Amino acid sequence: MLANMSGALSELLTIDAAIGLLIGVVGGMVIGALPGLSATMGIALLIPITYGMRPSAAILMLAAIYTSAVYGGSISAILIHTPGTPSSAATCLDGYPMTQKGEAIHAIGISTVSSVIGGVISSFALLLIAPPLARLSLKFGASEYFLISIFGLTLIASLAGDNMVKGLIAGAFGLVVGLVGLAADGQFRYTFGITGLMGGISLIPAMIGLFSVSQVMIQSDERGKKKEKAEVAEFKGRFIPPAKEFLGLLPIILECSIVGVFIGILPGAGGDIASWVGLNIAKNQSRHPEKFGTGIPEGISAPEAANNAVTGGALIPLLTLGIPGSSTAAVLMGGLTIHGLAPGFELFDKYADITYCVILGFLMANILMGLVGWAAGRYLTKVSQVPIPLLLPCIAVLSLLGSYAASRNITDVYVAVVFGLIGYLFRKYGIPTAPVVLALILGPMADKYMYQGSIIASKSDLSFFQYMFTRPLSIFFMILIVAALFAPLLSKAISKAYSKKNGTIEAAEDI
Amino acid sequence: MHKTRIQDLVIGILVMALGIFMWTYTMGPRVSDANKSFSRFVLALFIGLGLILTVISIVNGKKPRGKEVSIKEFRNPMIMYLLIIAYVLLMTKLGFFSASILFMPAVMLYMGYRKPIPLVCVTAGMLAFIYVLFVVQLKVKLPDGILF
Repeated sequence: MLANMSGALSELLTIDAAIGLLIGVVGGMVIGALPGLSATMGIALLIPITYGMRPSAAILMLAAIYTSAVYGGSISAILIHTPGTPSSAATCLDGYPMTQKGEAIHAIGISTVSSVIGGVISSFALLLIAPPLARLSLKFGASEYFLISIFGLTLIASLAGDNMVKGLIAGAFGLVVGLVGLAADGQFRYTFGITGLMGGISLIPAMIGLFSVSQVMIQSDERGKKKEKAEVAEFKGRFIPPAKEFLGLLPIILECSIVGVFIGILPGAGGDIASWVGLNIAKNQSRHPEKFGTGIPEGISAPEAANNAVTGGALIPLLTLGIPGSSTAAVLMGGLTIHGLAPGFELFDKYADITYCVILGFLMANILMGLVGWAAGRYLTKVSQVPIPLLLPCIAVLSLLGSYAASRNITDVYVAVVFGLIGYLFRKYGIPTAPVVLALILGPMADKYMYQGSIIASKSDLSFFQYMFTRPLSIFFMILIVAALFAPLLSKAISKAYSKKNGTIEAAEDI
Repeated sequence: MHKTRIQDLVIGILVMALGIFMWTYTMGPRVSDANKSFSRFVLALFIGLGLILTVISIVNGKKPRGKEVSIKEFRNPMIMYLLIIAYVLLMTKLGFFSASILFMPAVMLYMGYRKPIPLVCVTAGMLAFIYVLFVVQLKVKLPDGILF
């Protein structure tokens, strides 16, 4: 690993990487602070900007957006009582009361310090856990990769939201869409003679349509509605918490960070769950649990450390096994794919310079996020008050341009437009869109490895399914799949219990 | 039957209809076995889930589930969608920048924004940003029609 560090550092010290890092951190913060825009949509929207960049700088930028957006969400949660992302909903409970008490800057300072520590710890976890896990992937064959893709598909259940059947339908729809184009055996299917469909439905335009174009349509419903201008508090107080206060908060920040990393690694559980779990840990360990919700620093530090720690944790299964544990990670995986990078051991061997550059850069992004937050956090609230009519055409233009820039093909713009309508209708009727993306990525992967596995199995006169039972690693993955099917029920019960206990607040829509 | 359940029923039927339509393709003589088996596996799953949603909607017909969607709610989003379609069509005829100059203010005005200076500044700023980033830096050749 150390041998790869010098190459990674030289990648990291390029102008491209520095620009990517800065754009990622600032852009992520702005996206996070805007209620209604999440890290998922931000990454989908900004992937096209990375086309001309070096892969290291591109992935670094996307990873920086991820962590920064989670932090950015806390700023609007604290200042205007509106969580910028679902991960910041728990922060509202104590953040806004602190603002009302005239301690807005102090609250942002605590959120910044906690988010940075959570992010830094998760970066170290990524650096230490991912490489050995990736080495394990060397032992995988077609059947294991097939089962990994099926394992990834089981996450659909956890992304399904309230209605499990609709979530599964969304996933199955993604699989159906993934059928279009060239099959694993080289045959075209469902192209209906349209040349533009022969390469299949492109992932990036589909994602942009599902997340961004549909969001433009949903936000257009704000037309004519008089929106009360959120009251922005006066900016008073000290940004950096005093040493005594910081040392008092440190144990809970560290504990929540570690918990956050593990929640991130768990498929399907994301920053929103982590923040509630973190808040609950802080409450259980506090000598004054009754003070939570009245505006106390622990109520901010715990969820913020936990939700930022999730980001590095979520990158571990993504980079090593190709399992996107959340919708944001799924979109990030799309970013890896378009830069020709496939998750697994190769990322830590052949492309080690790029991967370690991204990991080290991710660590730097978390630190830079704190510095930018310190310098500009208070002004980000202005961003959250940008009028929607000015924002919508910008998102629409960037979405369609992004779809076009992917392959410089106008067909991809049509794909984005069609998927925009699909995404809008899905969201309107309570069908989640994240499973579509997950299935769109993993479906063709499952198809390919099932085909390859069948050929290998036929040489031993076995069916593919019989062949899988001859491999211990495959059996391990089968057990994992069964376990994963029950995980969402457990995580949903935990999340519900925590949010009920702490009192929920209407979170920004998870897109 | 409650309206939310009717919505789910329609979704279930549409899912099954799409699945069955796509299944017929796998019955063609030129479809290979490998292709056929994976496609049918996916389609069976899709049709099956559509069937489950349909049955649940019928069985629990009187209990509301989810949000009731009224046709009125579609008005603004559909007009926005038509604007987007018009923008894409204009893009291919007039070129990216010309179409954007028309589209951006049109959306702002439609959304009820009437302050001319921010309207012009946001349009010009956004297009300048796109020009510098995509055309100058990334060398992306944007769609050009009869104008630019």
